[in-house]
Amino acid sequence: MRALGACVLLAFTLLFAVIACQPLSPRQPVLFYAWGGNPAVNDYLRWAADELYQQDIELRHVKVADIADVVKQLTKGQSNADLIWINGENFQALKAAGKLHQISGDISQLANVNDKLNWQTDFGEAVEGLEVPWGLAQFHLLSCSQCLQGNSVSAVQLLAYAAEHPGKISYPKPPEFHGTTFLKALLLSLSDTPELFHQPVSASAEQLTAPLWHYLELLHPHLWQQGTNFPGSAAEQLNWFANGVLDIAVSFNPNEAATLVKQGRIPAGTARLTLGAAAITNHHYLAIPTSAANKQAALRVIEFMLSEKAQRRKAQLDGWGDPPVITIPDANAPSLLPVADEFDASWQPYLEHAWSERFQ
Amino acid sequence: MLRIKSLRISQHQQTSQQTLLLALPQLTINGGEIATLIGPSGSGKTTLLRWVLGEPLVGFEQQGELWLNDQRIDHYPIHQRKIGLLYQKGDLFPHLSVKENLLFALPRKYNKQQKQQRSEQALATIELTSKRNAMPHQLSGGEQSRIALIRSLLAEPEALLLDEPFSALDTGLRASIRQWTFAQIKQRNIPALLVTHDEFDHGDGPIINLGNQHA
Amino acid sequence: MVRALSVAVLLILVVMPLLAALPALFFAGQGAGIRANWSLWLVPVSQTVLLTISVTLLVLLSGLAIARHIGDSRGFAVISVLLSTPHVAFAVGIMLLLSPSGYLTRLVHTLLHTLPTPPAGWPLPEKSVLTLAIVLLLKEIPFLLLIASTQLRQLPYQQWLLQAQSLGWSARRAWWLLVVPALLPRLKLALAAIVIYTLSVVDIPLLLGPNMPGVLATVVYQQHYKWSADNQAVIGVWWLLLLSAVLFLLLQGLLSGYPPLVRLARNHWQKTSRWRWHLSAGMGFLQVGAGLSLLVLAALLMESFAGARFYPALWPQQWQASRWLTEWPYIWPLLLTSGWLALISAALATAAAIAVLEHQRRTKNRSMHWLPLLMLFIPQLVLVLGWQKLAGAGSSGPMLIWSHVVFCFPYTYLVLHGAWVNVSDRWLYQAQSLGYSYRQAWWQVLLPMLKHAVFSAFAVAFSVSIAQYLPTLWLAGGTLPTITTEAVSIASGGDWRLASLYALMQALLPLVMFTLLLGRKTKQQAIDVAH
Repeated sequence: MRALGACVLLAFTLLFAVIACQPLSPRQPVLFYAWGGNPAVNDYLRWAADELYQQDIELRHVKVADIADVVKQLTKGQSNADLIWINGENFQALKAAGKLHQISGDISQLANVNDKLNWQTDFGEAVEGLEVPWGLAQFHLLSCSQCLQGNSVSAVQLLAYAAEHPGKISYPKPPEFHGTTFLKALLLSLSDTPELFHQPVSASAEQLTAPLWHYLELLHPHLWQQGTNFPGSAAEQLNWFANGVLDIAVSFNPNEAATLVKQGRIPAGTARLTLGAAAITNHHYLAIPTSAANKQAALRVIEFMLSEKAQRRKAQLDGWGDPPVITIPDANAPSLLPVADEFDASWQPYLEHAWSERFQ
Repeated sequence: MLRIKSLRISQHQQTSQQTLLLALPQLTINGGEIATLIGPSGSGKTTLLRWVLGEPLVGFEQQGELWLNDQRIDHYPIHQRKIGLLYQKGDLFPHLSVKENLLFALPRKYNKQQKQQRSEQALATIELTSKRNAMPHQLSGGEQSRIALIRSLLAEPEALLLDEPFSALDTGLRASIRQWTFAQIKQRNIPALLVTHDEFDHGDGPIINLGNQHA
Repeated sequence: MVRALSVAVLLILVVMPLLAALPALFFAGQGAGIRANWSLWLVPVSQTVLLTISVTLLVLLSGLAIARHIGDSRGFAVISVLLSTPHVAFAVGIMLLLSPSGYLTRLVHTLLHTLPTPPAGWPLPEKSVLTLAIVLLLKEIPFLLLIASTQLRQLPYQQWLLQAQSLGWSARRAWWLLVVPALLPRLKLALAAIVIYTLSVVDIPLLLGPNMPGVLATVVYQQHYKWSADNQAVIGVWWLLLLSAVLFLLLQGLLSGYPPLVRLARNHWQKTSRWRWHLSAGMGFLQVGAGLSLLVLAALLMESFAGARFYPALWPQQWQASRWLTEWPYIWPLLLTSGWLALISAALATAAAIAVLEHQRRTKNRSMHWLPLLMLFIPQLVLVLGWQKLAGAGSSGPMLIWSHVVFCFPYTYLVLHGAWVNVSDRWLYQAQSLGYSYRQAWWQVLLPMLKHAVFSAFAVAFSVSIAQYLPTLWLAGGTLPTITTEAVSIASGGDWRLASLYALMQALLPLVMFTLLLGRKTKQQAIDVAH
């Protein structure tokens, strides 16, 4: 037994020596900090790294559990990130701290980005060329085939369903961004004046959001665990949905109903519905921090990521399924959900704060 | 021959005073002789033994001369004094087998073969060859004492110290082990200093009673 | 020289890290104008206090009950499996088994057909304090057992038990009335470490604990990542420190309150209980613990091969063994990195503990010092952020190793302390009388005598290093990914099939190390080195 252990140790030593003695890569790696929780994304990035290797670029996907970690390091500490995958509040924080390069001028592929997309604002905040769109996100619900019928469900219908099936509905707890967007979708469905939400928060906010709080007070007692606890993330809710603990899940990827079934993560027959008449649509982006050591290579990575080849591959339904941002002449592309524009940026913290004051 | 001259050991008290623990103006032990130290507990028997061995005595003030075979050794560290030590519990190293204990004791000048030979011989003289691979905790008290003694002797010491080596043995065994131990010492012709509070444990050499020592 | 070494170790591994991180502690908030929002903290604080007190007490009671039966290698095997399973993996494994959609309910449905959809609220509800408490309990008992077993070796407790039984006391009562009072003071600092861990652990409560609001550590963690100006993380950190102090005092009170209780019991209790308990509670815990740890590993293994496995299917509806094949080329470099990092850190941490403890031994200082354990008592988040500010974010291998050693050192000290300080000088004098110099005697007699304790400390330090997440992520950037950094980020996505694979790999290295070092029945197990 001891001898076996010694052999294992020796083997390790030799392997390590072999690796350590390899000539240092002439390429400096591009450190791409991106969420590592989605195996489909990880596989896509491995494919991308293989492709980029042929262009003499070493792309290294540094998996993080929460990109907010990296943002924190960039703003308060130090980080060696060359490229990051962000949107929403994370982008706002980096923009406010002035930690992002202006890159829109350097990316030629931006010319190919679909004009109809409203990517110049990120969750309501003006992008100002500090980040480049990578993919599209549309907030919607996933539901079991017998549960909710149709292509969309209004807030009122959801409440009725929850009352009939107590303990089967829930949503991720705000300020998780799926949860906050759920609130926004409810607001759009309940409100008579949805266009006012594209304006910044003002004194009328109380009055505008009153229907939402009233609604939630009716809804919460019918929720899972009577609203005393919530799923911590969309991923957690997805697991419970897959196992029948809950009847709905939430998602930002309009093709997830198809891709997740293929991956075996959710049961076949899962339907997708919009909450309200349309799906709140936003984007996720790539950005380069000012402290990046390898800016040029990172720019080339972004060019590649926006190329037709990469975007097509990204949209494949047997992989990630993330819709492309560039115009691709393809009749077979899965249809997007009807689009509803994002709220103004100031609504996000307002809603989060108001929700936690009332319900936490 | 072991000789102690003008030994005074005092104990540091808290009041920065010193009280005399023991004073020994002169003690000579010839080769093959076994001197006995007796006295009530606290009279300094063990302290004297520790001083002869060379242990650092913390909290004690000490002065005196120690001569072994006409060489002054009281400034030598323990491992250079060539004085063997036998404790009450035998003190065989618990993580080594009997054979390994013996091999550990043999002087470095012997090569591996010679060491093997000598340890086997030693075990044979006490008829414990079968126990060569046993661990100390598997041995009986008597076996441990005998093995401990031959281990001390295998190191070829020029003097031997015995700190109540037989008190852990039952009376029947004690007599025979004691006799055998004294015989071994005589055979090697080395001086020995024995500490005991058992009146039957006396050797044939000088008897030092530390009971009436207080200044 | 030993003294100098000991002082140097304490400086490098305790004082310097603390000083380096201090600025972060005071600037962790966001600018002026933080209004303390008391309502935010009331519920988490009270919840956390209750949780910590109950978990620590239960850990203590169960640990003491089980400790009576350890000492044989079987018990140690269980401990080592439980200790080496990473936290999140263990938590996930428990949930895979016992959550409302877990194996247990699926089994019930398969047999009885009464649960077409997962039940609400049993066996272990998804986000509850109860589940959190149970998982923490299961994770912390092995740690206490490890420390207890090393401390017990220094007490002739078997003799005491025998004597007491010869006086008519039952073994169990003798244990609680005679041995435990002697053991408790020696466990004080280990218990303090458990209190701190329960107070400040974040990843398990995020997974299993309530979130409306969560326990104190979760709230601090979430506050830390808020971008708005009312970021209250600083206040949270001060709450943590305050609670630690309060709970330490409580602990002290508890430990000093036990002897009077015992005295009362000794005078008034019967010597044996009127009921004959056929199965000792301690042994029962041990069997349950062994069974559970194996089941957790089995559940993770099954999950890693699963394709689709929806409730109420007991076995996967589809298998996906290809996952192992596709991931393996990416996993083995991670294992290599983690393994080497852990080997070096564990070796340095063990050597450091030996230096400090040897100094203690020579000065006959038998008590356990709080200074080497200081790093256990400070939230890791604060420390690492402070270091990163100083050191930068580039690939700094030495910095990374240093941070790992800083966090492993308290554990090696804890584990090694009991055996080391009690080794008698007599062995050294004996060896010296046989002609070996002090240094030779130290290397050839003392160190081998303590082999078992040194190996235990090394194995524990190895596991601690493997499990480090924040330091590796923040100090070495993306340049030294370990199996743990990958596993944690994958786990955040909720795909437990892939996460189980990584978790199993994460558990593999420490398991191998424990088995290698401690699995064999050594000749030494009956050694008593402290005459």
